Amino acid sequence: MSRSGSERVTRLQVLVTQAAIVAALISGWELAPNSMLEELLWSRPSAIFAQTYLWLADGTLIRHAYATLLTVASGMLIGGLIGIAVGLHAGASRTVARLIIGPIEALFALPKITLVPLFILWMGIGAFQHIVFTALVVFFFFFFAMYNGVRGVPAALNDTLTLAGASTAQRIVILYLPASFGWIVIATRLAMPYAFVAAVSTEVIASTSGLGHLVKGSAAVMNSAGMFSAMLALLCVSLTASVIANLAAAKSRWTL
Amino acid sequence: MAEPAQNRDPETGTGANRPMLTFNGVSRRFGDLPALEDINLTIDRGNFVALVGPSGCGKTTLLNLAAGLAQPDTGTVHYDGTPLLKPNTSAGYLTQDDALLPWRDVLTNVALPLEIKGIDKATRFARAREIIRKVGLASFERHRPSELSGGMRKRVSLARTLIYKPETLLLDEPFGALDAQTRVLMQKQLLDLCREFKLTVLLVTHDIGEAIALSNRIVLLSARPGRITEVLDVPHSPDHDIFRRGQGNERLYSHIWEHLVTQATDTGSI
Repeated sequence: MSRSGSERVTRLQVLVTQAAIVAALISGWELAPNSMLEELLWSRPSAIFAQTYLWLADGTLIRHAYATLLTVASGMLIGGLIGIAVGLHAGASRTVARLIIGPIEALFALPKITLVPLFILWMGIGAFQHIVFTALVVFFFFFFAMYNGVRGVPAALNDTLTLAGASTAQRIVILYLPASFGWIVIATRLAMPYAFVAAVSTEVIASTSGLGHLVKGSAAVMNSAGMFSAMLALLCVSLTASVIANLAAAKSRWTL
Repeated sequence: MAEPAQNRDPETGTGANRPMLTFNGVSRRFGDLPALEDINLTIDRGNFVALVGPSGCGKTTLLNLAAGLAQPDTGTVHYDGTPLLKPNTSAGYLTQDDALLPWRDVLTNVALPLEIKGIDKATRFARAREIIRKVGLASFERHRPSELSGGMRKRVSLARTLIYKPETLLLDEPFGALDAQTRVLMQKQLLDLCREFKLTVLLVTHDIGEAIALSNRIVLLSARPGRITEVLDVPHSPDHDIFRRGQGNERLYSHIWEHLVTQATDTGSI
């Protein structure tokens, strides 16, 4: 039998099958006896639904989701811009590259989460600390993207601009930024989930708001429904952000 | 010594006899590897000079020196009577690669040098359109380089090089990657444009036929480190027909061929 014949599955069939599996898992979870899934630890879909409804109604989920999103967006913006600026310098100047590549590689290799206690000492547990940490995590994606983008510019293009008498600013605008555009789009796409990991990690460690704070706070009072509810909200928010980043990446067509 | 380029030759009053490009005892090495050794060469205004030599003999290095993109280790390079210490913006440099910006269309690629000089959009696009028509690409203004053939891309590069009216063209095997037919057509077009703009040309080529058909002087370089071994005058009438290339110059052709073979076998390249 041919492969196409044996694997002719419509999109609808796939969706129906997936929905059936999810439905089976959820009903199994709901109906399992307490001896199998202890409700105190596992909660039940009905309780999670009720908790989510309550938190949506009183604005709790929106408030915390907004805090997390603000951290992610500011972190991406600040870390991205600094990464692009530093990467541009390192890519354009051999001297700058030799000075900073070593330290940046070292910092990149460090598990950044170990810096959070230090950051808390320096900056407290507020939004500022979360943003700085998120910016630090995403910085590397943009730095390496820009650095490689600029270094990958063919020497002939650089010479052409030199002979036309281009200034540094013109070289950046006409050559380096467009040449690195594809790299930056990929960096945005890859950095997005890591920005969420960074933001939520700092929130879980110590914070006053954010979905990570909500997960941790619920766990502290044995509110397992609340934990799942906050996780569900986080899933929705980060998935939406990633889908948007992927769409932007698919639309981009500038590559060298 | 460093008189301004605008000064005219006091004897003729026209500057016509002053050499455009002079190499005095120029040497250049890359690390331990000598690339060029004691190059003495004078290129007069309006001349078309071809550089022929085996692979890796420093021909491209010589062009980079003439473009001011590199500096000699010893000796000096003068352009129009002035020592060349920074990028030579009066020379158009056509490299082996097309060096076009892939995200820009033909029009904006050709207008690039004027954009860098800060000339307004209307003026620079008008000039670009004029020169694009001259190289025969009028209907391709809005195409990107990836949508053009190799010969067309080469013509875009040529148009971009000519748009700022350079006095001198530096050509680094510009037509090496083209098929034989396209190459001859491009050579014809180049020669016509050179006459129209009264250009001084320094051409690096592997193609002996091309050197004979286009230039009025041929400089032979030795294998690395590159040294000038011979300078040959190419006799042909001013309006010679490029499509009859090499005819009447068979002895010159075989002389240059012998030189290349000797140089290659001496260094063990063959």
